[in-house]
Amino acid sequence: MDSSNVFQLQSNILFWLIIALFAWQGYQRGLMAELLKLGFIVAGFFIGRPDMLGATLVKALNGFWLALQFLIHGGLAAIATGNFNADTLSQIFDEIGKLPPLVPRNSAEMAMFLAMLFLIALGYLASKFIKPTLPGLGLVAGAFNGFFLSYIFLPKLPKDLPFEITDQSVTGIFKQLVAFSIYALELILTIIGRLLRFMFSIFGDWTVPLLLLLVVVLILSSIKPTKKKNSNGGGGG
Amino acid sequence: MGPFEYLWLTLFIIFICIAFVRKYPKELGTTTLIFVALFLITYVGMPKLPKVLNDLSSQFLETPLSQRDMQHLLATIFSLTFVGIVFSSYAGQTFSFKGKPVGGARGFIYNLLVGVMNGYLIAGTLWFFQDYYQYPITDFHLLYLPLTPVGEQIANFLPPYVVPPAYLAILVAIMLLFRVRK
Repeated sequence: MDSSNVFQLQSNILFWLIIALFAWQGYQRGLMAELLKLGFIVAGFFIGRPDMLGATLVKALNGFWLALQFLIHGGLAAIATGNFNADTLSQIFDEIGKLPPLVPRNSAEMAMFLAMLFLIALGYLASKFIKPTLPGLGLVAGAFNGFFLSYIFLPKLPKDLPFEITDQSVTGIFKQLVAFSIYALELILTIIGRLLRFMFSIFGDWTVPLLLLLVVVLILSSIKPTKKKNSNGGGGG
Repeated sequence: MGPFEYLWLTLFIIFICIAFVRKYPKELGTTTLIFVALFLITYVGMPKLPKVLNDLSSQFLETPLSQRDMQHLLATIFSLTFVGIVFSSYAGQTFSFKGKPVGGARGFIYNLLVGVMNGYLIAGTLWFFQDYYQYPITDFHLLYLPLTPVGEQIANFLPPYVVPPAYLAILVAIMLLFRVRK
């Protein structure tokens, strides 16, 4: 089997697996949860595309960042004191004009992709709080969500196979598995590296402290309190 | 022995493995104590101790310590103190977060995240004491310099270089709030 056919086969298998997985989840969570998730996926889809809402989002983020910098660099004091003379304002604008934008031009695509991932994850989390209803329709809606996500993510997979599937013997399959594991590990490290570089380009020296805070809060909030047993026996009577 | 970053990487991986064995609620107790230790050492110890040691040396040895001796002494004291605090957080009755950890893939990711965080904090802080005091350990020919280009890059992001002491105090406060809530 040549490399392009194997890739096509893998993509098809992955496509149906994603749909099956999401259909099953839709069945468990119900229609309303899946519709909510769909809303977030659609929003994420629009925001992830520069020709749709992506470019607007980046402009908005940079705009808010500039406004915040204006307030930090003396704008707030000017508003509070009413000192709105031309010199003060031009001095503030001179200062903030030298600052880099929150999302630089070369990181815009990554920012849109992350915003899309964030919205999809948010939809997934929000759907957990909805009481399951209409499981049958939930299954259909879940399958549709899976289809939509496949449409978004499958084209982003690399076209070249990381290894050749030619040797069908046990040793050959083992070697292919090792090659695939190494490839997957490298891919994960590359993604983490790119994300870190992107975060450093935005937050600079504050990246590590912010990551620590994020990890601590995320994990601490996941610990569920254990139920205390009532040792008084409820008062009796 | 070998390049410095290999030791760092080994320690880092060991702490990831420990996190998988102990699970993240217990490991977060260690994280809290690491933050406390880092705060005390960077906010109080590092600015004050050199003067105290110099005064003691002048008083009892009647000569001030040489710069290299001071670097050796400070790196050793801070490393031992830090290791002692970390060890106490692992041994005996430990400080941990009560509650039920999540299982499955989420549990795996959380264990991994906490392991990476603790590995970075512990191995990174021990490396920091060497880096800040110009690698006193190399005088014993246990590890050698120069650092590889990757090592040079990592050395810029060692915990006390990038996390200010006040921020550590805030992290400890947040963690204690969660501990009380639980």
